[in-house]
Amino acid sequence: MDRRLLGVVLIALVVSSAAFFSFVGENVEEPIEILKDEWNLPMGVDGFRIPGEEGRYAYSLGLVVRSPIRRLDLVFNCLENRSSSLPELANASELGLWEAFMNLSQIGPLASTVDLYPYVEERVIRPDVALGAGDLSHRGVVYDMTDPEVSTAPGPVPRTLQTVHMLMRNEEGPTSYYRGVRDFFIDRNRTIIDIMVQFNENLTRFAQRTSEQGESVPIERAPDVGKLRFDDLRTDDQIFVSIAINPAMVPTRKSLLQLVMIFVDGEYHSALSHFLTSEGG
Amino acid sequence: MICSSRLVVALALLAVASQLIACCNGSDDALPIVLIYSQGGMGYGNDLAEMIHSDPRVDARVIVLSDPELFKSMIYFPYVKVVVGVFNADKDEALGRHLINFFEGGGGVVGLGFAGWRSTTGNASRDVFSINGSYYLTGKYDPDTRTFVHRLVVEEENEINQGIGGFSARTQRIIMHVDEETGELVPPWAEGQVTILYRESTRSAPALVLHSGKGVCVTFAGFTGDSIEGVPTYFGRFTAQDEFRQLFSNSVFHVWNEESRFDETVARWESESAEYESDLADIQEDIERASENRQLMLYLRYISSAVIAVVAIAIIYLYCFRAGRGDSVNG
Repeated sequence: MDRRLLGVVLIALVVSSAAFFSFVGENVEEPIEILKDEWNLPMGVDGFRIPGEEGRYAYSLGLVVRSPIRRLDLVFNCLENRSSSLPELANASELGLWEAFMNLSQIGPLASTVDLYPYVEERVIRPDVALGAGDLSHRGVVYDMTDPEVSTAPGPVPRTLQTVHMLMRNEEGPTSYYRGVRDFFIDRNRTIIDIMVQFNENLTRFAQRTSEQGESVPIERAPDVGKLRFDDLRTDDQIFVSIAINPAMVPTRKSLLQLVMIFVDGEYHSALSHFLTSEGG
Repeated sequence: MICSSRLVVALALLAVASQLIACCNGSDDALPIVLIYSQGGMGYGNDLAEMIHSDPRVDARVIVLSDPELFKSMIYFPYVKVVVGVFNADKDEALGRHLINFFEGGGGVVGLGFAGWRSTTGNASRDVFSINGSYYLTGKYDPDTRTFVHRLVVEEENEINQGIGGFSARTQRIIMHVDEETGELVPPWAEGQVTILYRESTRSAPALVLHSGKGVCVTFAGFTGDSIEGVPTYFGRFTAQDEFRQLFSNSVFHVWNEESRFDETVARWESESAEYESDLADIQEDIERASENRQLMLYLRYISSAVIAVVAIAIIYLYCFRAGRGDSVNG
């Protein structure tokens, strides 16, 4: 009898183990996990404060790959609040985001051309992504027109060209309009001290002054239009990006929005955003 | 749920709006763009847009802008075939470099007002608009029309001014390049071929200039206009003048025909798009292949788990149940 009891227990054990390995072990995970997403800047009421003094402050982004990815793009944007140039924004409360875009005098002409570019799509910043001081109800639509402009320009397109547009709204209507550059930061050649990109053990440093620390690459040679691309990623691969700025070089009294858009296998995945206000002047 | 339904509504509205825009312009989505920069206000630009719309020879989507930053960005769009620059003030908005890029890329340009003024458009005042202006001559006040007029005389005739002849133009002022030391008029110069179509009668300053180089440009060395209705410098005073309307329409049509940028940039963009699409397709193919491999591995795992489980159960059965039955028989 004892042996039979043991047999029943063993068979149950075998069956449950087989079931576990066959089904439970096949969990589908999010392709990436964000480990770090922070500025070491002082925090103000409505976002980070960029002090008006010499120094070194950095944004750090760290992520780990949770399932194999064929292609990962990290696209950095730095936008300025231009809401004041659109007084009619206040009267657009009844409009949806797209409708608001079409109706606003300065953006409407731009929005009307979007259908010409099949790969310039709206990117809805999902409400689960914080877009500011704890207000999760904001949504944004981003027009990124950089690719058509860069790919067809006769020569290099000036970095100062404002090709990214974003309209944000909350439950009450459109709240703000941002416009800026697709780059690691505004005016990269002046404001950025260095950019570090680490993929597992491989570190590349792009620096303003290359002579300071041996093996760095001039900042002008950092990937154009703020896009970092990683191909054929495996589970547990790690990526770390750091962008250090000198606050004294950031134009004063600017209200900025840093937007990091993540694309997995060519599809928009998510966005990280930070409000920054430059002081001094 | 609320958010996603709003998004659906917003997308539907966008689709309708896009259709409306296409319908208003009377044609399909892939129409070339005529981009009008109307410095200081949209009114002047809107009047010019209306002239382009009413010209059956030019089938374009016309976009009027007054925001210089937006203009800088849109000037690089692949579908922009012609740029019309209306400059109403001696104000540098750092647009010159972008206008040069557009022109040197083969684009068609029409400039009005301070377009040829050095401190407004920088090097573009010479390299694109071929006036390089540093001095202007205000027109004679005409009490009948309450405008400042110059008498324009034909210097050379081509398809732009054919049949129009000389006329009293409500130009407000004529911009010209004058040697600072001698006070002499400096003839227009730019790389390529410069043709003077009209001169103003008192100093013989070029008033309408055609420049054919890497791109093509027609410059009106005058016609600055204020937006305030009723004042002598109001733009409506000359945009209503038949000769101006004909000259402007013909100029747009001329650069529309002669520019070489549009086909090139559209082809480049289409090729870029195709490459992007094929790149995405490759990625999708890789993903599907990887997914198939994973599925195959999963099946193998199911099968091997099942086989191992069956073998284990068989061993357990033999050891615990069959052996046990023998024991109990023997016992």
